Amino acid sequence: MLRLIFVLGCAIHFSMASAYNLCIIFKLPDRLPELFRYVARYQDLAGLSGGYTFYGPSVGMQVQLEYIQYQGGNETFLGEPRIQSTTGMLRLNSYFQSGSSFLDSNQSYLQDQVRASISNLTAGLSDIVAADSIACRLIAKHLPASVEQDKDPLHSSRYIILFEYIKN
Amino acid sequence: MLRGLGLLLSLDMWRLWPDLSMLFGQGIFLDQHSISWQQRPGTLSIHTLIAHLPEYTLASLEWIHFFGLLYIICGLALFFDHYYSAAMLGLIILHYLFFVANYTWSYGADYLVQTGLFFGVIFCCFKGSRLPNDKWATLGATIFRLQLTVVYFFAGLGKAIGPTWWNGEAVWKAIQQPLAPALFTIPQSAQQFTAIWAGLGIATLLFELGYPLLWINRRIRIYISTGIILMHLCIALTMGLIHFSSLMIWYNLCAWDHPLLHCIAKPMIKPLETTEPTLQVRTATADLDTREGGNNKHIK
Repeated sequence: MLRLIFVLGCAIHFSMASAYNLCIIFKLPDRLPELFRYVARYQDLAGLSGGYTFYGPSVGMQVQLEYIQYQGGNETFLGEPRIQSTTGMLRLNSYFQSGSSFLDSNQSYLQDQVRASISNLTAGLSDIVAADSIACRLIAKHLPASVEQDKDPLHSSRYIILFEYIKN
Repeated sequence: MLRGLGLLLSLDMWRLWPDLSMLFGQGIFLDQHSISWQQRPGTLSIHTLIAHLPEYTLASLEWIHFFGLLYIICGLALFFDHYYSAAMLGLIILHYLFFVANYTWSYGADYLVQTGLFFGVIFCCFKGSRLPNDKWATLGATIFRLQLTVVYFFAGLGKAIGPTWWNGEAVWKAIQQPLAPALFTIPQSAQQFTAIWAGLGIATLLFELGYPLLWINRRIRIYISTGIILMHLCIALTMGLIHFSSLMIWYNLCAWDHPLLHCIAKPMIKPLETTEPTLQVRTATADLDTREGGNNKHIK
């Protein structure tokens, strides 16, 4: 009996992991009925809710934050001065990377979230950095595909400004 | 396997320590509203937990450092094999609170860590009363191998459905825009070697989609697991994902009992699977004469 429960548990675990990833890969709706809300809790606990399609099917444009400090007619470009560790920066970049997935899909609510986060971060920075005004830009680096490079050898990578927020 | 995982988690939390209050503090970096967007409904995260803890005992920033320190202690206790079950339970709860219940500051490695800890709790804390410990550990190793197979297979399938991993464009983009500072930078002029990038992209797909072949026999297992380990080594060097790569290399070494594991960690860390001891009895080549004095013809 115990063996049967164990085998059944394993079958449910792997079916759940497979179904979740298939939904991500083939963009199927993954809304669970209210009855199965405990399934979502189990997925979180077992670490299945992240999905395994790392950089699949393609690698998107990487986004990053850039601050511009305007003071006495000079402008200075800054990175994120409040995060010191590389693992902290990795987590911050990952936050903006997942937030900017509205570039590839039509999730407009993500756009509002990223916009609000940027204004929030800029307001926080103006409290600790002396400046007449501070601008925060969310920029995406566009790397030319090899096809574009073949057509135009001068075609190099360029930055695209997705959002700009200025705090006076 | 879990001892190594404990060490990796302690190191990662130690590296995150300078930014702990900034990232997890109440409205210090991002406001509560932005943080709450990534909160899983009906769950308790470190953000919601600290908001409910009494301020008169410890300030909220001190609570964050307290939980961070507890995380490091649990990881080290796991590594040094002290209070094993308590450390394991503490670590899975704290990891869930920090990185899973609210995924604002999470990335792929955090979910894979949660899976490793989940299997650890199931197969090490709840040891079967009906099965002997070695059989229970072997079962745990088999299920963990199956989990890794699912991880790699879907990672490969997700990549294979698009054209960019087949023509090398995805590999090039991934190494040119790392999430963390890379240890080894590849110059932009190297884009002209399209055959190399296409080869690396196809190799990645083949290793990931071919991961189920590890189950066939020991010889194939060595080649594919070594390929996967090298792939993670390249990810660490060119994309700066050191924690993620170390974690996956460790998982693969332990799950498949790779020979490299015996070189680097055998004296102190056992893999998840307990290997059966081999009986070393020399094959008799001649009849032994057990009479007093013996038959010593062979040394004459």
